[in-house]
Amino acid sequence: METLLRKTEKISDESEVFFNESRSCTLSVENGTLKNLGGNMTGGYAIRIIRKKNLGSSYLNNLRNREAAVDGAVLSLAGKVGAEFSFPGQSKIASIESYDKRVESLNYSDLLENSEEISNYLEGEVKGQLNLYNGFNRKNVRIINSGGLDRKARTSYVYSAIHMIYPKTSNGVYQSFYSVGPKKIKKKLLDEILETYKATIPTVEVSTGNYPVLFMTDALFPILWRIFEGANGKNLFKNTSPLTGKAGKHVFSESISVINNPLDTAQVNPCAFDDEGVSTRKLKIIDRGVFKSCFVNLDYAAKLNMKPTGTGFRSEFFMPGNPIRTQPVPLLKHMSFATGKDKFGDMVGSMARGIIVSDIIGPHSGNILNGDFSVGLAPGYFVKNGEIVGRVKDGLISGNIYELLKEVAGIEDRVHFPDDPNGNPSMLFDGVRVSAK
Amino acid sequence: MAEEIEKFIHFSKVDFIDIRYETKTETQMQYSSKELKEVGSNITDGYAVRILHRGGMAGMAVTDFKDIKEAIGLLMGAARLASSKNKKPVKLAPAPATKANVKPKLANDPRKVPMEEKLDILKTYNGLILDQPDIKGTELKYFEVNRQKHYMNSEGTDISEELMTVGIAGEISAKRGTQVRNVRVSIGGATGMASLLNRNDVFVKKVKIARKLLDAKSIKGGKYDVILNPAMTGVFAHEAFGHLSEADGIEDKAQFRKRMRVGAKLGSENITIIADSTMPGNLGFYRYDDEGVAVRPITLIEKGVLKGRLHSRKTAASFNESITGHCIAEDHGHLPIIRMGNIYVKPGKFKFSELLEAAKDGLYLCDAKGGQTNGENFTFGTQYGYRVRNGELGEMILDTNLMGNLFTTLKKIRAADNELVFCERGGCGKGVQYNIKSAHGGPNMLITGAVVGGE
Repeated sequence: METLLRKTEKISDESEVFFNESRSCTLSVENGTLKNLGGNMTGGYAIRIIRKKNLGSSYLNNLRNREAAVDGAVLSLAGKVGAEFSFPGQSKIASIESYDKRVESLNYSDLLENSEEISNYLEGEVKGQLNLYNGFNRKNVRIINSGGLDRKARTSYVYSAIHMIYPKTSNGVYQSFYSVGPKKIKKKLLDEILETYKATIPTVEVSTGNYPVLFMTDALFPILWRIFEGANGKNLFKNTSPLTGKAGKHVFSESISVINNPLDTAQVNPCAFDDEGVSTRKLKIIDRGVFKSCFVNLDYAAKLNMKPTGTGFRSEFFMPGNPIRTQPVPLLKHMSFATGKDKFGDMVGSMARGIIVSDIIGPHSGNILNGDFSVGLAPGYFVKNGEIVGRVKDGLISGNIYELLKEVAGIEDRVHFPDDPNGNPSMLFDGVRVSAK
Repeated sequence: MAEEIEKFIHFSKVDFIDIRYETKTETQMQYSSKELKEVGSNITDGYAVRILHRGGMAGMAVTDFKDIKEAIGLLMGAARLASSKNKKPVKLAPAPATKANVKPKLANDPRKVPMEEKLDILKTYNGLILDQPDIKGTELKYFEVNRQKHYMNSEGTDISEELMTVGIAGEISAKRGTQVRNVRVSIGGATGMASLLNRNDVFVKKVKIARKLLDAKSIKGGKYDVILNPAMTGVFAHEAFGHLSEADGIEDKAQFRKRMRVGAKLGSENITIIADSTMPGNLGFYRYDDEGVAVRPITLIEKGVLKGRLHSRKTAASFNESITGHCIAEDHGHLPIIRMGNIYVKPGKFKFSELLEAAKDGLYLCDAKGGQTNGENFTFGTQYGYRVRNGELGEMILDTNLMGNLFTTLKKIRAADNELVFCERGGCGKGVQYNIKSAHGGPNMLITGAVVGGE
């Protein structure tokens, strides 16, 4: 890697080499059959060079042909992609441990054992079908640049996902759990998921109209995505964001705060630096309804004349993709709503006729930049007189986040599923448009 | 490299092994409004290894050749574990040992076109869009992906196939006040650079739609009779039905599998869906899948009756059905999974005006904006649409989403017109893989009582 950097230094004013390596194993148990035993041992390198304020880039997945990669970066300079920024130098950053050495000795048998423990606990309880997905991942990242920066991190995670499928369908209740190392899922959580599953086996036909809607963790993903696009430095620079000119102003209800905290070790893959080597920090995007801060990578920090926010990542928001092949873009990987004061049970109990959205399909459809959403319930539970009585048949909820988040009826006092990678408190809104029969 | 792979295959003490070595060349250029954000061309390579031993199957993607031995060791353990736990051993449906070398037929090979020329084409289209009033932003990308695959297995199959996909695609944003409207645009396919030239009309049309959307209104959410335009019909075929025709999705869903038996009446007489990746020039064209199986056309639904499904060798054996050649990986970093290549709804006999008359009071929904399924339920977005009143097209309406249950919706298909249009850009995410050659098409199609989102 150092040899590669030295070669790039010779042909540029500044240069950077990014390395990413991943090892994983996965398996699933579907209806009692062990399948999908797979994994990867993959990795690669990405180069960025700056010469005369122009950016060149290339990537390779092994070091056999360093010269070709350097030539590729030089060739890409011909496009004259502007670079008003410099790569950061070495500085002190937070020390974060997000690696569990026990993951090194995990194997397929351990994953199967975990699955069997869950399926034994739930034996006979799931009337449709129980599918379980398990896996682990170890990742090494290193970034070095011509300014003397040398950042290294290793991370690990282990995951389990449970899919309780309703009888005679292919849909069901799905919940995933991530942790830095091997960790048993609490029986209490399994009981809660099972109880919800049982209560929502009957289908309920719901009329089109406005209802109170309680969004659970995974259902908040499309809402957060639209906030992400609005607060993205790139869209503010392009003047295509509805939040343009709204910095410091109230844009949502005072009870709404949105935080991006990569340093929170309770989250999946916390990190002390981004994919450009910039140190990360807790960033308040929305603070009690006020649009507090946009987020940028090095490129847009320079364009917007602001300090980098440690949010330049080689990834996409919806489908992460291969970090080697993706250029650093402004990205929030640790974004969540702040908790409120309401109990989950009280919010459910407050609904005379309402819907709990457990998960959705179609978050990427619609006019995301404008804040519009229109997503399928997958599933949505119907609540009558404060009790879950079944699941909604063929329902779709829609709205605009800049309207929806002006009035919030309740925010849960905790992250509902702490080990869910989208860990959020549940949020209740009145008068959400539901399209159904 | 081929000799080294052959040695691994020859000396591995397993019942079956296959290795796919692949080099992937990607050229990308991207504009974000007036700014050029990326220019580059890169080559990566890697291996996907799978073994079947004593009825257990496992696979792994490996970057470095030196890691293959370790990977095979891990996979042996995994296969043994599966064989000890599963009552039913994994079997592969028979496939003929094949030797072939397939090259794409291209009208103007993109690899022979200088980078500057490609950049100039992209820059011209981007400039054309940005010159129009109300247009505040673009995200426009040139992409060129060349996969050179070399597949070998322990049964003697040895196939090289090269696939080239090229395109320009992205998003156009119009803005007035705080209202932002956007539409997607794409040109390209699998035939080479010719598909990217002289296409101003496509971009001008999309700019007009983006601008008109600034004055369009939302519809009220609810149930409508809807006519899907060909692009939407293609996405319907893909999302609503196509994914459920991928046999790996239902293989181990015992109760659901019964509903999806061949011969089951699932839809109205008016729906026939075909998967055909053998059409030369189509975006979804290929000759052999990533298990070395020749792809063949499959009628999935004929006049509402389930006729077939898409298979890997494993699922074909499990269902006791014939192999179809639909086991495809994104690239060398992934194992193959069952994928649609090109799926379309067969055109009907009606004229478009007759569909409008039949819809009377409904919606005409145009051009897709992403879709998703979680099994039998699906949703997909439309970029814009029109009200249909008294059998005639009315005012433009804003983008919306359509949601439904496969089994109910297939029964509500009333008619299709006689057009057949295929997409120029596809793309489908499944698990962590993205298949850029997932193509679709169809006619204008009328569905009654569809759930549509809105105010």
